[in-house]
Amino acid sequence: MALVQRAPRWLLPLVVAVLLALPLIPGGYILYIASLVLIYVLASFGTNILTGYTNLISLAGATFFGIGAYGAAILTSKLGLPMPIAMVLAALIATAIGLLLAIPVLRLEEVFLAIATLGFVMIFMELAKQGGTLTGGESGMPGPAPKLFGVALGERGFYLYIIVVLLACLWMARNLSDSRFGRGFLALKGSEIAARSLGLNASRLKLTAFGLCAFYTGMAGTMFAPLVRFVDPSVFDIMVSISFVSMVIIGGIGSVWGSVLGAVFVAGAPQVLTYIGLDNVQRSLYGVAMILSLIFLPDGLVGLFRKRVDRIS
Amino acid sequence: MTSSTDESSADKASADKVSAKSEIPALAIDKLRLAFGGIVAVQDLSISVAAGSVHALIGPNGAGKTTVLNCISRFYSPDTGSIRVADREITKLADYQIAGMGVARTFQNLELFGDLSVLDNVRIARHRFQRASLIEVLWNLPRKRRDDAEQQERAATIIESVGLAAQMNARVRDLPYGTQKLVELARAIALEPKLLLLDEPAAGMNNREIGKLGELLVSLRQRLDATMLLIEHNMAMVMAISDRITVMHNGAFLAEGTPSQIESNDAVITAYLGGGKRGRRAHG
Repeated sequence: MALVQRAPRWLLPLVVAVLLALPLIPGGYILYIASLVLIYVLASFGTNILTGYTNLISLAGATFFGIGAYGAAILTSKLGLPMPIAMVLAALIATAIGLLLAIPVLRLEEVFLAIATLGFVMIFMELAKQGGTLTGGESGMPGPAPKLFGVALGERGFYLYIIVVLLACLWMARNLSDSRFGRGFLALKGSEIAARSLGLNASRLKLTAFGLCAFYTGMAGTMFAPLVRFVDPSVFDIMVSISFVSMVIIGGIGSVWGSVLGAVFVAGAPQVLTYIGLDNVQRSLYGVAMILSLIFLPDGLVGLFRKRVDRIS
Repeated sequence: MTSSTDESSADKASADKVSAKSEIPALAIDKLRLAFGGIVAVQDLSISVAAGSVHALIGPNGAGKTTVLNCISRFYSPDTGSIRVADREITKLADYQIAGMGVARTFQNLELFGDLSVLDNVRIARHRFQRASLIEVLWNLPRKRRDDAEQQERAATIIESVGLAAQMNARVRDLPYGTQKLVELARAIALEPKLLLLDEPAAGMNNREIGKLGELLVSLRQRLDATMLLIEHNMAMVMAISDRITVMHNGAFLAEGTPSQIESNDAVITAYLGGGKRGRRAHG
């Protein structure tokens, strides 16, 4: 089970074509939802690197997402850095903090790791609230205006920017999966004892996966800030972490297309339900759908398509 | 290394003096002791495995053979005693550093990566020969591509050498048990070990497969210039390919010698077959 695996060759070009066609639809709302979903797809990739590859479940996602979001906002507004540079820097800061946090907790397993990482979310929520003028405290701070080389990006421009970042990150994930690191992760999952006897440093590999997860999730956060033009402590909310993990589990653990489907479902479905006027039952419908998908699709949404392909061929 | 008399651990010191001029042993276990709670799994065990030899470790089930292997792999930490590989103490190393000492192993109950292909299983063992950094990997830089191409070719050659060329891309889980055993052997060889620890390689194989395995091990020993420590219950194979045999019983040293000496050793026959009964061969 590789993270990037045999999907039909035409799938990626098709999806990219649809994404590129979306801005042609008039009205900004669809584009806004699409941008939001793509940002969640990136966070979902990040979570999947950790959970899909190494079976570790971390609830620290919101920490990295929030650091990315605040980082991008602070670096552009307080230090005046250009947006792309601020984004990469903020994602790297999220990575560094992720690695520091991971060192003491990576020896924990399964549910213990999940609970320990929950602690991070609480700590960072509090830091954001108490951040004074740096973070704007409880009321938050404005997000950076999307700009590239001094030119302001409109909604469409920023949407394309997100697509480019996402494709670059997908490309890196594919390279990773076909490498000694990707195979090392799978080895740990297959038999940690064998992996160790083959000279694989399990702690270091897990730390690498954690760092990559923090980078991807942080990068997603850096794009969230300019999209909503506003950052407040709610980016560190535990529900953000839980939605990242749900995306991976609902979509299909260890599958890139699963991450995409999961993000579309978790981030997109509530928006669509609101859009078609089912606002009042939105949450309950969504909750029921989540439970049903877990019961009937143990391999996630992506399993639905795999079975279909098998039957046809 | 052959010696004309049986040695017990007590007169090992004099044996060492005699062989002092010869090579350093590939593996020297000295007064190893490990207890789990009140149960002593290994007690005061000393074994010296001569470089380039095939050394068998036999004994009834529960004698502590696999525990010894797990101590060498550093999955277990002995309570006392030392383990030296090519004269370097390894009891302070981490488990993942053992491969770097030139030690590879197979497992009694198979520890393969079942969802992956034969090729990927063996490629994983080439991890420590790869140098491309994480950044080079993420950006698919030339060194990563070169690295991967080289190691894939190397892994393929190793798989061919154990006769599994046709199964290269098969998922390991789908292969018959005997074939999986060979995959594990290929994976161990891919570490380019100086010392190969084999935990019941013939278990679950039919007689024809066992015959082929014996030939393979003999040819590997020459090709790799490696030393082998072999745990095995199939006496025909042990007798055919071992230079020396150490017998364990209830966690302790029982006897050591050449195959013919062990075959006629009264203590060994008693341990294997119980008091009274005698047979030319210990059972399989």
